[in-house]
Order: sequence, then C-alpha cells, then structure tokens
Amino acid sequence: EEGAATWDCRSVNGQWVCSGRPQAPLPSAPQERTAPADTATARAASSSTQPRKLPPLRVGKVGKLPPAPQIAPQQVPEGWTCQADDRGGWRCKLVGVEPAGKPRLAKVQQQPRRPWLRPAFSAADESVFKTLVRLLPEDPWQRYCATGKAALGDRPPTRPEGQPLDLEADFSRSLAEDLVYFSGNVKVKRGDQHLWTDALLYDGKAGIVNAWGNVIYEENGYLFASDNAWLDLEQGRARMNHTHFILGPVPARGTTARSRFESETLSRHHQVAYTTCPIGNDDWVIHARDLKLNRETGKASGHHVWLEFMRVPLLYSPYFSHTIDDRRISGFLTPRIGVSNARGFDFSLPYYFNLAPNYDLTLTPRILSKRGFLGGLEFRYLLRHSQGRLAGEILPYDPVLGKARGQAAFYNRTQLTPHWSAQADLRYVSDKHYLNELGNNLSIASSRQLHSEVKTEYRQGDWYFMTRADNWQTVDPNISSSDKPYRRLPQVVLNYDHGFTPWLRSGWQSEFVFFQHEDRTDGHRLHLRPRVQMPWRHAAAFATPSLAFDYTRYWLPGKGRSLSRALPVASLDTGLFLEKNWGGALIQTLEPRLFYLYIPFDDQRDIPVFDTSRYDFNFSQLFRENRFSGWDRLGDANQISYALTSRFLTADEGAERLRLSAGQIYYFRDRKVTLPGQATETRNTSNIVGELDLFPNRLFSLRSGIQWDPYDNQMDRGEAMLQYKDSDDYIANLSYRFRRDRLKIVDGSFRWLLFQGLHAVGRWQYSLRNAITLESFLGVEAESCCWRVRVIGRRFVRDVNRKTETAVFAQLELKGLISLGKHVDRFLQRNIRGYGFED
Amino acid sequence: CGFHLRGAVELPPDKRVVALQGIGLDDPFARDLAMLLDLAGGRLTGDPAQAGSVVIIHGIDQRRQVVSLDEHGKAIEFELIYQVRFEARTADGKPLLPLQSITLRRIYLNTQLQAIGKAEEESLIREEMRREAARTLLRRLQRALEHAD
Repeated sequence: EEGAATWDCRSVNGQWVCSGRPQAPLPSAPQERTAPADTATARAASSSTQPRKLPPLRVGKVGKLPPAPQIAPQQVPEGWTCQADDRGGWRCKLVGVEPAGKPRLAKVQQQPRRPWLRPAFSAADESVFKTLVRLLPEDPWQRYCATGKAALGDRPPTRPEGQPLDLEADFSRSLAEDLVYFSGNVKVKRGDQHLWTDALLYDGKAGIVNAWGNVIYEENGYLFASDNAWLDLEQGRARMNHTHFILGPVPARGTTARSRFESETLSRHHQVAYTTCPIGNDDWVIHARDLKLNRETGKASGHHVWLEFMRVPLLYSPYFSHTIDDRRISGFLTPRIGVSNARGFDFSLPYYFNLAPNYDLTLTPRILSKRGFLGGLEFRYLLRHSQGRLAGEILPYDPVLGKARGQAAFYNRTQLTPHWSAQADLRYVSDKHYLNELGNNLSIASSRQLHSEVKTEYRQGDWYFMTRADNWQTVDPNISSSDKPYRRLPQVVLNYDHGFTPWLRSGWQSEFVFFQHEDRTDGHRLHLRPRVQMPWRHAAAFATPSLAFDYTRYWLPGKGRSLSRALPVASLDTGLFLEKNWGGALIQTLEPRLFYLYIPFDDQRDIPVFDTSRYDFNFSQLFRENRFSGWDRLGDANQISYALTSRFLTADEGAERLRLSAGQIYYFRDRKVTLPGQATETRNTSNIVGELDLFPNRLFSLRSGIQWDPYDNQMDRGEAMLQYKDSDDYIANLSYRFRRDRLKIVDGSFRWLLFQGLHAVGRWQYSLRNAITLESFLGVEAESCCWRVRVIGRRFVRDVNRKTETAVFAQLELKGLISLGKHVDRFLQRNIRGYGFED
Repeated sequence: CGFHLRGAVELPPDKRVVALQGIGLDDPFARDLAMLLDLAGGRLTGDPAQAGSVVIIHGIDQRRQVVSLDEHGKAIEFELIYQVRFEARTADGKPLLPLQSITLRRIYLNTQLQAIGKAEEESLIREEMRREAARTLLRRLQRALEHAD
C-alpha cells in the first residue's frame, strides 16, 4: 500500500487486467546503430566476407535536418585552427604565437569534477541543455510542468535495417580503401536516427564510426551530446565521453562522464547525474558513481547512489537496483516525520525492496520518542489470478503499557474461474487502543469494529452462491464484549433469479447461518424466500406486483428448542413518467410512485436478534419490503408509500440539473414487530422525506434533505451539502448535518490553489451538539515541476474520553524518481469531499 | 399544466439489442441492465455484431467514506458512492454518448454497533444504487438513440 509502485487492476470478464505505470526509462541511450554502410566512395569488402548486405550510404543533402547547434562553448585554442570551407578549401585562424610546426591536441579532454555542495550542473552544462532542447519539436518540460503529463510520446525505437544512410558534409576525403573522412557540419540521418558532428571518420570495413567535436545524437526525443563518440555499427556498440543527455519522453536530463553501450540492450555509465527538473533548475539531482542499464531484463543497477535536494545531500545508498519499466526502485522511500502528543516525535523511514515486477516488500522502521521502536512490514503480490498483501507492525515493548503491541492484516483475492472468486480479508490488533495511539498521524481511528472474513462467491447467469466465515474485533473500549457482533461460522447464501418472460420473473433467496458468540446464545438460522414478480413496464408507466413467501427457522442448541416463522409478503410498486418541455433545452419530469406493502403480523418476541438492525429511514426506505435488515425480524405491514420525484434534465445529454423528491408512508395499522425493548409504533404516518439536489453547472452542487415529523411538527433530520469544485485545484465544501438527539455538525473543507504550485488544504468538523471540534487540519502543499512537499497540522478527537490529539506531519516527494506513497493523498481523499474523484 | 405521459418511442427492434463490453454479462450491473432491457422489449448481448448499439463500461467504482464523527471521534455516518464510467457507440462504431459517468451517493447512519445488520444495509444500498445507475444509463442511451435518428 505504501510502496512506490501503482498497479492499475480491474476485473474484466472475471480475469484481472493489470497495467503498470507507463514506461519511463532512466538514462539509457537509444540504440546506437547509426551507419552500417557501404560508402559511396570507399566500397566495402566483397559481400562474401560481410555477414549481411549493408544499406547504401548516400552522400548529399539531408533534407529538413536543422543545423547542429553549438553545444560546447567555442574556446579557440592557441595555435592554428583550420576548418574546411564550402569549396573544399581551408579556412585557418591563428591565435597566439605561431607554433612553428609543433603539434597540439585538437581538443583537451576535460574531466568533470563534482565536489559536494557545488551545483550538479554548471552554467556551461545548463547552456548545453538549453541548446540541445531546441532540437526537439517542443520543450518537453513546458507541458510537463503545466499539466504533469509528458509531452512527447515514448515511441519504441524503430529498426533502421535496410534504410539508406544519408550523409551530408562540407568536406569529404577518402583516406584509404574503406576509410573516409568527413568534416564540416556533418549530418547523418537514417530512419529516426540523427547525428550531427564536426568531423567523422568512417571505416567501412569494420563498420566503425569515429565522430568528434560537437557530437549530437537524437532518436525519438532521446538526445545525447558528447565531445566525441565511437560507434560500432555492426554490433550496435558505442562509447561516448562527457555526455549530456535529455530524455524527452520522460522528461529527464543529466550528464555522464563516460557512457558505454555494449549492445543494443546493455549500457554502462559512469558518474551519472540525473534529474527530472526543468533546465536551469537543479532542485534535486540523483548521482551514481556507476550505473548499468539492461533493457532486456528491464533492470537498472548502480553503486554509490546519492540524492541531493536543494543542494543538500539527503539520502545515500551504496547499491541500488531499479526496474527501468515502471520506475520502481529498491531503496529508502522518503522519510515521514511527525510530532504528536501521544507518540512524541515520530519518525519512519520505509525501505522498499523491489523484488520482482509482481511482488515487493516494504520495511518500515519507525521511532516514536514516547513509545520506542516500531517495525512495520508490507508484502504485496500480483499473480495471474490473485492479488493481495500481507502487512504487520510490531512494537516489541511499549514503555507506557509495559508490553508488546502490534497489528496484522492479510488480504487476498483470487479469481478461480470466470465465475468463482475467493477472498480473504483478515485484520488483527493487539489491543483496543492500538489504532488510536499508534496508528500513524494521518490514519483515521474512527472504526469501532474490525471485520475479518473469508468468503467465496460464484456468479453465473441466474445463480449466485456465496459462503463466508467472519469475525469482528471490537476496538472501542465502550463496547462491552456482550455487545460484540456475532460470528458467522459460516454463512451460506444461494440465490436464484430467472425471467421466464419479460413480465414474469421468479426466484428465491436462501441463507443458512450459524451464529456464534462467547456471551450470547448461539444459533442456527435458515431463511428461505421464494418470490414471483410480474413486472410490467411501459415508457410512461410501470407496475410490479410481487408475492413472496418468507420462511425462517431457528435451531437454538443451548435451549433445545426450535422456532420458526412463515409469512407472506405482498407488494405492488407502480409509477408514472410525465414530461414537460421547457423551451427545448430543459425537460422536466414528474414521477409519481405508489408502493403498497402487506405483511401479516406474527409475534416475533421469542426470536433472538443475531444480526438484525433497523434501516436508516430515508427516501429509499419508502420502497423497501422490510424495515429491518437481517432476517430476525420481518416487520408487519399494511401500508402505502406515496412519493413524487421531479427532475430537470438537459434535453441534449439527459444530464440532471435538479432533482426534487418528497414522500411519506401511510400506515393502515400499528407496527407491533419491534426490536427488543422498543414499543409498538402507533403513528399513522411516517416522517415526510424531502430531498433536493441541485447541479446548476459543472462547478456547483447542492445536496440537501429534510425529514419533517408531522406529529411533533418539527424537523427530525436535515442536511445540506454545498460544493464548489473546479478540478482538484479549487474545492470548497460546506455542510450542515442534523439528526435529532444524535448529531448536529457543521463541516467545511477545502483545497485551494493560492499561487502557482501552492495549495492550501484544510477541514473543520465541529459538533454544535457537544460544542467540540471533531476533526480539523490545516496544511500547505508546495509543488514545483519536479518535487512536492506537504506539511499538515491536525487536531482531532482521539478516544472515548474526548481527548484530543494534535499532530504535525511532513512529507517530501520527488517527481519522476519514486512515487512516495499515497498516504497524504488518501488522507485528503477521505477528508476533502471530491478530492481525487471525478464526478 | 403542460405535462404529458412520456412518449412511448418504440425503438426499432434492432436498436433494442444492446451489446455490453468491459464487464461480463454475469456482473450484477450487467444483470440489472439485462432485466431492464428485457422489460423494454430489448436484449443484452456480449456480441456487438448482433446489436444496434454498444455500451462500453470503462469502470465501476464503489467507495465508502466517513461523513461524520460522533463526539468520541468514531464514525457515525457513512457515504457510499457508486460510479459507472461508460461510453456508447452505434454498431458501426460511431459515437452515441461520449465517455461519461453516472455517480450516485447515499449517506446512511451507522453507529457501528449492529455491525452485521448495517453491513447488510450497506449492501442493499449498493444494490439500489446499482439498479438506479442501470436505469440512468439506459435513459441516456435511449435519449441518444432518439437524437441520432
């Protein structure tokens, strides 16, 4: 969960389809296969000694290739410097004293020296990058920084075999058989491969090219510039010294002192500096003493790797390995730093093991100044038919409680066949206070029960079968052990639903459960419900009469008796669809609906309550056949629900602009079936339920609802949730929620872009009923093109004693290097309605 | 007052056959679509060659979020979100409905005391949202088919 990789999986026809992240290679060169060639002037050796026919070298104009930009500052050395001119003559320049025949080196090899705390890229380096990037159709950082998306597509390298090699130069000279020298604005093009150089020596027999002076190589947006290059065209090998590279599709850039391409797939680099920051910005740079890239295995590995952020060395690893394909890297993930009053100073430094493309491991050592050392582990895997994770945490000794504490979780989902699936979801914590006290600063310890289950499901056509075993662990000290939910050991469900004709459907629901509890009566329960429905539907009306027979039988072994209940359930659901056209742009609908329900009374006071609770009353409840969820109670009913919904829809797309619903139940008789301890309900009508949803444009939305108690003439429930959302950059939520005798809350949250790259985030949830702040936080997210930092301060109710906890949390993310976990994102998703979710 | 019964636009029989891609026909959402189409005299198939229109499901996203806390900091109201992302095309590949989504939200009370009953309620709410999403999808599809003619 916390690892660096993201898997995007979904189930298609019962099979998992997974994709990794888009390919984003490290500093790997495109294959250097510039010019296997017979040359025009120097014929290669006879084809009998050549393993294959090489494409012809065509010397002439290379169409549309721009002139080579000058990448190295032209320092004209002392002595004579001569260059060929257009007409084949020489143009010479003398600087300093006439050397009188003394030779000198054409170019001095400058060894890059990078002491610590000096800029990773010098002004000269940056000017090389600036020059190089002009060769690309557009600056890849421009769009990347604006949108976060790479501008240039990452096309696979094309195979240039068979394509001619076009070459253009001011001057050429055959030095020997198969040895030609070109100089002056040399341009070479072959397929997608382009090479610019000042001078080039081509050995046609060996297929070797030596290029020097301003060598630039480009292929599909990958650019390499170097002082000199040695290319073996036959073997696809190359050597370059002192390179600057730009990987347009990533985008990324950097330098190497030496690069050796040993084959089309294997390359070695020395003294690598690499960043995804735009040119002129060295906010972070990763350095490696040496780096090996293997495109065949998709692995990158290196030694003495260190990371600098804002010129400060931040992380170091003597060895690292990395998959090129989805940028997952073994090594330290960014540390998480926080402070809170229950834990003190809280520091964790996850280490990520990228074990294989489909499984990984994250170890998280964590130090809490008030609690000691806590070790965490997470293992994730992805198989052809299964995916899952195993996670655990242990605090070997908590000095406050004087004992070991921890938690563990396991999740697995397996698609056995397109129809069968199996799932396990298990959780355990050592004590009820663990999540509150030791969960990390952003986790929400709002659960009162932890559910664990193992289940298998079968779905095919009309059939559905499910069996499960589950358990609940109570993590709220306010819940006594006798109030704990029952275990289902097991629950077996078999449902069938079949349409004989469109207007005659029949089916049944069946369930068998063994309920088990330490402190309460165990019991077996069998529930059967065969049903016949005769749905009739017309464009303007529908009617669905339904008749079911509900049978429930209990075996209560402790008491040696069995109970049963058998009742018919009859209902009729009808409705109309009326429409009105408002000026052609809007359609208003009117949808009246009537729902009649009849279930005779049966005294159910003897029946224990294993799993049954009352449904929350709302608009949907008007049309349900039971007021209890779970089968221990079947509510007696002789009632009619009437409701009216009106919608305003756009005529073109059918998008809903407004929905207004209202409804009520009229009871023809008292409801005597209740949960234990509750009195017979004698009112003739239910609350009046009203809902109003408004979507005036794509930015605003309002969802609201009200329940009016006509007997006491008061509002029983009310809610209004207003949202403004313009992408994830501008979100503001304000809501009010009221339930009589239960809650009265105002809640506001936002994420707002203040300046370029600076967001403010926050939430305040306040209970008017208790006059306390339930949850609040405020934070900033600063983001540049290549990094992001977030700092959040949070205050929330921590436990049943209404103790509040204050915590501060900070995280730094370096884009394109490693994704540093979704922790903060998930926290914001949970707390800021609409964040990270497109409607 | 200007309201009239919704026109019984009888789509020609070939248009009433809808092909579904992206999810299997045994998926609960597909079952709901098939049932509704059945009632409208149509049919759901997996094979675009037999169909008058093709619905491509790009994803079904189900979420659950805490909306409000009680005075002990425990969750008391939850919001369930059901989202279907889809597009529709004619049998010969012309766009009928661009990629769009149907998002449904329901908030319900759950004090986390009757955990099993509330879990059952949650799955019932999900079923209701799924059915409503299927109805909305078909309503949009029908509108698009009417407009296409």
